Amino acid sequence: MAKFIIKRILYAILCLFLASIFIFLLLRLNGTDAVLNYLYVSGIAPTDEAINNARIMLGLNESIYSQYIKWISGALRFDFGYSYFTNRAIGPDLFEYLINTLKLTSFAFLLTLAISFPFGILSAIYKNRFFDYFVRAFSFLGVSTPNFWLGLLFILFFSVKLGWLPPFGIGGFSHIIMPALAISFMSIAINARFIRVNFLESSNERYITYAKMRRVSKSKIYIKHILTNSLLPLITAFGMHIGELFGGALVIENIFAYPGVGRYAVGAIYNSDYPVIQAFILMMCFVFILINLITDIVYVIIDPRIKYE
Amino acid sequence: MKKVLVLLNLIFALLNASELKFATQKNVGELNPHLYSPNEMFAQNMVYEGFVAYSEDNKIIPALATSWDISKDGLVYTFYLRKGVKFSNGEDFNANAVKANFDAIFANKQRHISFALVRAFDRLEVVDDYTVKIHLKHIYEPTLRELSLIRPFRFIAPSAMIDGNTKDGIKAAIGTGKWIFVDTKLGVYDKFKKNENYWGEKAKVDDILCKVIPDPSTRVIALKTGEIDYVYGMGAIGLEDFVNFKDTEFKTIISEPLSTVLIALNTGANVTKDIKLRKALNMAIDKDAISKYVFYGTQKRADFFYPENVPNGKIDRKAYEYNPKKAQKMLIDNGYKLGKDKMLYKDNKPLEIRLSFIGTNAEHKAIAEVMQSQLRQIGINLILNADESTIFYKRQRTGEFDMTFNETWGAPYEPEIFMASMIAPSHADYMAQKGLKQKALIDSNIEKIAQTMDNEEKIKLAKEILTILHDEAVYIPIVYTTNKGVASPKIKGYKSSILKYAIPFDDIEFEK
Repeated sequence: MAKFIIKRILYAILCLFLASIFIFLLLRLNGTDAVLNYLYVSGIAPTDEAINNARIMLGLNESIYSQYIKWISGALRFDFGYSYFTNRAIGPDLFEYLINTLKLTSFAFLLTLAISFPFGILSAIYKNRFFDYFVRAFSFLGVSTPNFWLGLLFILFFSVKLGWLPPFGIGGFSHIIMPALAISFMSIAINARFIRVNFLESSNERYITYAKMRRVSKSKIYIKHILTNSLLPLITAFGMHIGELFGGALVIENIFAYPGVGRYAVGAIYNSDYPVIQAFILMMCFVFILINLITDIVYVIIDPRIKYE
Repeated sequence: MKKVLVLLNLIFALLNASELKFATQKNVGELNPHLYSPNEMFAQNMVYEGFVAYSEDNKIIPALATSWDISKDGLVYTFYLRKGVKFSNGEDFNANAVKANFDAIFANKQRHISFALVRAFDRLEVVDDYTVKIHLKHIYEPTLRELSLIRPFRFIAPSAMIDGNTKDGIKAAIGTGKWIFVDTKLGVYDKFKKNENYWGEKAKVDDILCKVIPDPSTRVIALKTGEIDYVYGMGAIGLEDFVNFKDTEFKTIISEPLSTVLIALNTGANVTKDIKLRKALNMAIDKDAISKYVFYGTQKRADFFYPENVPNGKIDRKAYEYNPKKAQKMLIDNGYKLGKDKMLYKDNKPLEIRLSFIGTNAEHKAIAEVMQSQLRQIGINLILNADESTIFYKRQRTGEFDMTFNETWGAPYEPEIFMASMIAPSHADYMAQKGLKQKALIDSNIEKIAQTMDNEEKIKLAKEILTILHDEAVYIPIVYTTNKGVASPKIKGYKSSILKYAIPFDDIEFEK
């Protein structure tokens, strides 16, 4: 087991390293020029002299290889350099924004768990009855509703019409409810349907029939036999949902003026702020790789039939 | 008893404290007066002042200098400083403070090199505590106007500099302006309070809280729910939302024309080098339709390079009429043939023109699409190059465009300071004009304008340039831009400004 975990961690580090090279090259070789954007945003005429000065100032005059070595050696010490546009150290800013995003996505993830499980299970138990139809309709709606539109609808209804929740910004728990609901809506819908299908599939297994024949109580069958056995594929799905929630935060944080990494990244992409984009993508890769790692480990813990190799 | 009274006074003051909540797109930065992005210009303008300011009626007016003299040869500007002015930390504003600021600006000269005044500047001389002289290397007539710009010639308390410099940052934003920068929270807000010791008329509200709300739709909601009291600026809220606010209790304001959105036609490019084609293009675009449908009437059609309120910007010419039939006939008379597909051809080649714009700029995209449809009606195929921003700028620098979006800079840059940029080869205007036989004359006139102190001569030279550009149909003026504002019914005293990046907060107050 320990050998398996060490191997997986080394594999994760290799993935992160390759991702860092890919991100770096992608930004440098995509034909854009951060220097020109920097000058225009700063209101400085892009004369040859101004371009050369800015290129030196931003460290973009060096070879790509040397730029990469400088960046990655800094990143290993959690020093991601300075933003071209705010001239602020990226590490502390990213951390501050990340904490806000983590609050938002954690709550969204809890919402996903808290709503999708009862929806999925009850929908399976009451198959082809009213609640099942309701959950299926909800799931259909959930996967086809863009989260930014939903966010605006929430604001219009809960803030403008009813005045119950603050429309934007950061503060207490009340500021998180609407953006978290907006980003988790699709995950809830997908999960509810996924849980329902898994639950129904497990219900048709032979061991369930035997359990029924042995007159095992219904609740025990649902919880101990069906639910535990349908958990395995769900772990992967939940792992992916965390990534989806982070992705959703990119848009939603802008709509709700929520100061998280998503909003930080969108601003950076708009301004071709390479160091911020690099730090953000590397962080996202780290999150995805870490989730995959945890998922794999949890997998083998839950189902001993899966071999470590 | 005294303590109780002080406490009661404090409570009374707190209860009466008025805080204006304003929406901004991003934090205002550290507010270094001598640097550019991410320092937001509107906030730099709130905290710092220069020798002179630019008035709403296009005049240079006193600010931290009460008066000034210009030597007969135009090379020495003497400024008499306002006495008794203090920075918000209590430090004196005097000639030494001016010297420290100029030293800091010129220690970072390369960053400001695009300003002609920086290139013309020779030295600053301290005559006495309240008199300074600026010596120039050569005559530069728009000196006062460049000194009135929001950056970089504004003054910060010398003690707020880092080792006498501002190029690597500042210790604190300490200016002499009406507002004091007191607090900031990353991605959430910036807070300003009224400078109680301001030398002039003080602001009417006590505090301004600038809330960071990047999305224009969210700002609309914030206004409706009372989370903010005011929005102002270009693109501050969507145009449709702006128009919808007109029928509500909220009050809307539109500024005077500030600048011009133009399409620059490349006189050196294969297709657009033909003057008849350029004239036909000017006649084929229905700008009223663009004003009505793209801008909901909030930005009026533009017929000339500059709006009428720009000093010396008016020329003795008629606008190109909107007449697509005549435009098409001009092209047919010029050798183009109408094909079966109703498109124009010359030597069996279709008439195709490329228009470059930044793909994420929604307004430019909408204008481009309307133009594409209108030009198709007379047989021209307008190909839209929706470029990524740096690729767009690269095209402008290298002249790789037939048509490109351009915009003038607004007061106090107009007309001369903006025109001065036309002689820089890195500028889109230079590239657009490069194919003109009069380009040498234009450039020489621009250089002469900057070096003459004779106002009549200056007007004559500027008009000559603008007339050539109009006659040669180098540009298609589209609309004159405006700043828009929406105010909650709780406030009054808001107004627009002739300066594109200034927000006039000073007279805003709450309705009693």
